[in-house]
Amino acid sequence: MELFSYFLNNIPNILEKTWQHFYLFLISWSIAVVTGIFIGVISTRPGKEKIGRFVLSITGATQAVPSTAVIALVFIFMGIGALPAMFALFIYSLVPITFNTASGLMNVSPDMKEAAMGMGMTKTQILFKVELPTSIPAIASGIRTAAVINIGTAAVAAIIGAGGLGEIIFIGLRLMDVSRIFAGALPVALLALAVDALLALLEKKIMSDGLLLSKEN
Amino acid sequence: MQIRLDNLTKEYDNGAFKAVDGISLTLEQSKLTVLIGPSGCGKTTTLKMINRLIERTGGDILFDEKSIDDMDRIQLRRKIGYAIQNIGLFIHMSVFDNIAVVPRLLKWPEQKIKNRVEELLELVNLDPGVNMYKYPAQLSGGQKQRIGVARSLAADPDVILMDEPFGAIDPINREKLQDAFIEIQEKIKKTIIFVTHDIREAIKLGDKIVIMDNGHIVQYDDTINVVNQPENEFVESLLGSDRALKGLEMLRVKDNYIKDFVSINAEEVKTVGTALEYIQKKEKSYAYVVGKKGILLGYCTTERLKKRDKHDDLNENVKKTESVQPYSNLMEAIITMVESGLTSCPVVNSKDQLLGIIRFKTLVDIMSSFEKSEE
Amino acid sequence: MEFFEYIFDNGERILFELLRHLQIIGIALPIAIAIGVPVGIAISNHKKTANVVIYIASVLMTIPSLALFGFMVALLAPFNAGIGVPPAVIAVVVYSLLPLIRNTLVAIREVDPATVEAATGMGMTKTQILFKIRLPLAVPIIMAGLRNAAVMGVSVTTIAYLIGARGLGYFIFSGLSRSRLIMVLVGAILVGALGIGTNYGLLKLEELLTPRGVKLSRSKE
Repeated sequence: MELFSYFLNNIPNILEKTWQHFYLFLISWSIAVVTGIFIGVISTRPGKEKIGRFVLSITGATQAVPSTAVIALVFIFMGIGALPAMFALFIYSLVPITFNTASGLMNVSPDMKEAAMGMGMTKTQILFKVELPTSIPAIASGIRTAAVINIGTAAVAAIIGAGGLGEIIFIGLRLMDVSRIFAGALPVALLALAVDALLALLEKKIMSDGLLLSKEN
Repeated sequence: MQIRLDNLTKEYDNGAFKAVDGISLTLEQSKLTVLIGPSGCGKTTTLKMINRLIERTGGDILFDEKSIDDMDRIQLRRKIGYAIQNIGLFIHMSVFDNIAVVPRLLKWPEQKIKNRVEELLELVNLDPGVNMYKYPAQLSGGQKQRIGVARSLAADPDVILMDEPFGAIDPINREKLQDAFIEIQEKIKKTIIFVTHDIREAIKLGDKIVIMDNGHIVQYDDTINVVNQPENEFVESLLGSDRALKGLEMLRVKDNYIKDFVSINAEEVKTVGTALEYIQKKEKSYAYVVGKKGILLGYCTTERLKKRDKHDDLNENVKKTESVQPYSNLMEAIITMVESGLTSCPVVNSKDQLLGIIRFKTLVDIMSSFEKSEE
Repeated sequence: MEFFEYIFDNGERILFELLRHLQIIGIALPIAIAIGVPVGIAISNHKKTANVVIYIASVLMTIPSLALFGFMVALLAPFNAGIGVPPAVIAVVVYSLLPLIRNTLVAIREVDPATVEAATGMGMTKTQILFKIRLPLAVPIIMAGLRNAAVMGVSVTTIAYLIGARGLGYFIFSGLSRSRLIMVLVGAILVGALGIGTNYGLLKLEELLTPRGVKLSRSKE
């Protein structure tokens, strides 16, 4: 088919761009995961409720900012290239991860926490044995969402010279070369779907059977 | 471990509000002491100061005369069992892992933990084979509560704190759990401090009762003394006007039944005629009928038997009846009698074998003794 | 400051693109509601179909917007519908389906069974229960889905500039290609403000539409 012509004729290039794209995603997203969970955890510790609420309202509001705006702002202050792009992607991924982590931790049943405290668990033990395990669904959801929007935004980030599959799409748009556009869009879509599916599988593996059962209820 | 509260105080708002106001109390070992009082009287606050979930503002709590401050807070909590109203089961852990939490914190060897979990599940009447690896989401309310109790006993603590542990279940299951709990306590004999707002539960379970109001202790005594000799009007109103009836709940069937009664063995007596003769010879109007191995089948009355032909099969003329067990209380015995209309109530063991009977007259005598002390 | 100068000098253009932006969302969202809510209602009784529908909608949503636009340009080009407003509207509709269908489903299903039983006992038909009880209680939840969709719509429409739909994306992308930082900044701020504003505005609307009784019960939890 005509549509696939560019794709089939340029596989090495496409693979290279795919790898670039994946790299942009992986670095920015994994740092965001660690940072986001960290901020989510420290802002929900007992006694720090005000900070928690603050973090929640800020991340809640900024989730509404379009990805393009973040890219644009980073460009203004950091110029073009892969590094500014990764920074933009990092910031953009950070928001849903932090929001979901904080929100998930805030919603842990107070009875479980009281029982854990009464039984003699230290605060750290309560965090790692009770709070985090029961918050896995919320945190995982944030991480998955962040991954998908990261890959999508990385495509747009090509406009500030980040490389990646977005480049192919942009050139295609400029030249109105449908085949080229398709050759860029298909891998991006597949990448997003694949990463999402993988993370969904991982989530199931990590969630204890007990959590799965109580979710069904 | 002996626990003594010495002028224990908890203040809020810089002394503006005293939740607990200088209470002093020595808790008796191996007894179940109930803290009861109206909402806001300070009972839960007192309980939570013992395992330092709430930090006291004044006075001291002494464990074997050692101040609570001299112990590490976390280690203290691991040595005290704690069960709360909404249980707080860890939903992401299996029943096994839930119970194993404190033993694991104390670094018990895994085999010891496994044995202990099995032991505890049997203690609370849950089949370990079936339940050990279930998750909280798969348990009923009553089962969850039992696991909560098992969990609090896991590391074999000397002291157990319980804050309305049976509060979140329906009345019928709550009665069953209370009965089961009484049996458990007879076996394990722990020092238990039990908070409730239900006076019937307090009377039923408590060896000693502490009545609290506005952060003070109003009365602290053996249950029977509190019921018989309420300190003042406040305690009286807490007990309610049916004190005598409530008093029956304190007493166990096992202390009050007699083994000398008329019964007919259905293995030997087959006909109505023989049965009737036997009962009339004993000058009674009814008798209990037992079957193989002494299992209670029911009762038969002379009134009913007279209407039958004397060659009729006895088994067809036996009426079933409810029974009580040794750990049931006398209130349940009275209720059973009222339902059956007989002047006694049969006592059976867990295999349904007839052990003895409780006479209505006995109960009336007991209630009169309560009433006499009112005057 | 150059920033404000730019805004004053180009006020008309800004307004125009803003309206264009809103127009796309304004066409797409009602369409999405018209599709999403009925579908949500229709599948609320069929668990298996519901799972399939939700799965499809979520897969569609996982496709990055630029890629989706790429597909649409590629596939609709023969029909001369690959660029401009139509694909932009279609894209916003597609992305809005998941939140709307899913939220409608959740909203209908989560009505307290006791309430439904009482209504049935009083003699309401299933349709009456649907319209007098389930839907009014569902409105706040569906509104939340709509808000979700609207915010995504702002983002997607910004990117839609690249396929000729115009809108506020003009300032960002045109600014980027001309290396005019002020333009990019203005675009970023405008788009960001629109996103946050839409979110906030619809949140207030959601609160307004939540029946007072529901708000009171929620605050008791």
